[in-house]
Amino acid sequence: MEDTLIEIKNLSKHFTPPKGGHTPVYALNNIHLNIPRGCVYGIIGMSGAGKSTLLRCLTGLDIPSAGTIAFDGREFPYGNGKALELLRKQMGMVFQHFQLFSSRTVGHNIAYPLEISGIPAAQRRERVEELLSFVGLESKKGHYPSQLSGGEKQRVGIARALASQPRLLLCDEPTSALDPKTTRDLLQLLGRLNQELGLTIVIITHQLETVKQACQRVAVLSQGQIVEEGEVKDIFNRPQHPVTQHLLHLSPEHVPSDLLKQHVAGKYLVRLGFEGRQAKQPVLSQMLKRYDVEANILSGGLDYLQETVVGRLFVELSGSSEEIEQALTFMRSQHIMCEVLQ
Amino acid sequence: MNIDQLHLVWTLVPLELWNTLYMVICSALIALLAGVPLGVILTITDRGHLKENLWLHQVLGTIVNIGRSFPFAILMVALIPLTRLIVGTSLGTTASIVPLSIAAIPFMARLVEASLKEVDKGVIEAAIVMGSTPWQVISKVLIPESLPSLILAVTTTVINLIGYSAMAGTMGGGGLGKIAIQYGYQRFNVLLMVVTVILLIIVVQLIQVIGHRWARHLNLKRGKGLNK
Repeated sequence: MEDTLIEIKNLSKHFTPPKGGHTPVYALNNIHLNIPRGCVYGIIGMSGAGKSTLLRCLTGLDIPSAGTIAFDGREFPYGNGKALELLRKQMGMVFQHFQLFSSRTVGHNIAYPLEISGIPAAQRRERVEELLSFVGLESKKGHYPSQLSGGEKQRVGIARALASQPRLLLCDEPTSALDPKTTRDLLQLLGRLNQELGLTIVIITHQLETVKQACQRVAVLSQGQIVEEGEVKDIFNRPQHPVTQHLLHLSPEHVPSDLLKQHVAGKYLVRLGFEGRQAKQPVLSQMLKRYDVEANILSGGLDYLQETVVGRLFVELSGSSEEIEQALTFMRSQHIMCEVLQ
Repeated sequence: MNIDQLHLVWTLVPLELWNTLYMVICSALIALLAGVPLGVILTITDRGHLKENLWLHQVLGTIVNIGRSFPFAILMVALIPLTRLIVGTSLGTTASIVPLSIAAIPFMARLVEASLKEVDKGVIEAAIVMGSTPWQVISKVLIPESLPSLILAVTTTVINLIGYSAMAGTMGGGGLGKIAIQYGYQRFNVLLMVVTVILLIIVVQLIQVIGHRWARHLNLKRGKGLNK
C-alpha cells in the first residue's frame, strides 16, 4: 500500500517459560497489520491478548521472535541502540499511567524530548509554550505532576509526546485511568491532533468506548492473533468473530451467568435489539400493557455509535407461551429485533 | 572542676572536632564519588534494567558484600598495608581516610542502588521510548527522580562515618575518638567525656536534620506527602 506508515509482517513473539518448560508461550502469533498514514487506528483486545507485547515490539522495548515491522518503509533496527534512539524520536508515546517525571515541572516534562535532542533552551521554551496552549494548560507550566488531576496529567503526557514533532503517536490505554468525561475530552484532543496536524495515531485499548469515539479503523486482537480488522463502523455493525461480539456485549455471555443458571423452564430468555427511533419509544411498556406477560430485565445498555443510538436488552418473559409468542410478534412489528435464547 | 581541666577541653576539643570533621568530609566525598557510580552500575546491570549484565552485577554485588561484611575495626587493621602505600603511614588523621572511605563506598553503593530501584520502571521505559541514550536516562531521569532518597542515603552514610571515625580515633587516628580513648578511658576525665559525647550528638543531629529537611523540601516541592 502506498500510504502505509507501519507495516507489520509475520510478527511473532514468544517467551520461554521460566521453569524448564519446553513449549514456548506465544504472546503474538504471526501478525500482519498495515497502519495507514493519517489514520486513527485502534487495536482492541482483552487483557492478555498481546496488546502490550505488540506495543513493546513497536517501540523496540521487546525484540520480536520472528517477522518484521517497517516504519515508513524502513525496517525496525532492533539491536542497534543508536538507530533505535533516532527512530524513537520520530514517535511519541502516551501512557496509561502517564509516566511523567515527578522531578520536573510540567514545562520541563514537555521539554524533555527536546532536551535530549540538544535543542537550544530558547527554542525549547518557545515550543513548550506552544504545546501548553495547544493542550490548554498554560497556567500549569510551573506545577509538578503530582499537583495535577488525571486528565491534566494525560494532557501533559500528550504535549510531551508531541514535543519532538513525531510522525506517529502511540497511545497505550490512554483512557483507562480516566473518568468518562475526561476520556471524552481527551479523545477529542486526539481527534484534533489527527485532523489539524494529520498525525497518525495508534490507540491500544480494551475499552470499546475509546475505539468507537476516536478511531477510524480497528484491529481486534485475541490470543496473540488478529481476528478481525477493518473500518470501525463495519466491525461494530457486523461483528464476525466471537471475541468482537463479546467485546460488543452482544453475546449471551453478557447476561450475568448466575441468572442464566437460575433460569426456570417455561420462561423465555429473550434478547431485544433496537436502534435509532425505536430506542426512544416505550415499546416494552406498550407490550406489557397489551399482553398478559411479565418481563424481568436482566441486563442491557445503550450505545452511541456514529450518532446512531443502538440498544440491547436481555429480558426474561413469563406467562403462557401463546401470550409470549404474540408479544414477540408485536415487538417485531415495531421493528424490534427479538431473539429467543432459551 | 578546675581551671586545668577547662583548659584541656579548650585546647583539645576544637582541634579534634576539626579532625573528626576533616576525616568524615574527605571520606564521605570519596564514598560519594565512588559509591554513586557503583550504585548506578549495580542498578542498571540488574535483570530487566537499562543495561542488563548479570555477570557484572554478580561480581560487583559480591565485592560490595565482602566489603560490607568486614567489621570496621578489622577492616582498618587489614588495610594497614594499603594505607601505608597510599599515605605513607597508618597513623594519624589523614591515614584514617583510607579505611573510612573503603568502608563507606560499598555501604553507599547499596543505599544508592536501593534508592535508584525505587524509580518506577514505567518512567524509565518512557524515557527510553522517547529516544534517550542510556546516559541521559541515568543523568536526567534515574538520579533526579530519586534525589530525595539519595540525599537521605548520603546522610546515613555520613552519620555512619562519624561512628567509624571515632573507632579510627581509638586505633591511632585523630579526632574525638582519640579524646575518648586517651582522656576518657585511660585517665577517667569525666568532663572531657561529657563534652565529647555532647558534641557528637550535636554533629549527628545537625547532619540528620539538614539531610532530612532537604529531602523533605524536595518532596514537598514535588507535591509529595510529608512522610516520604
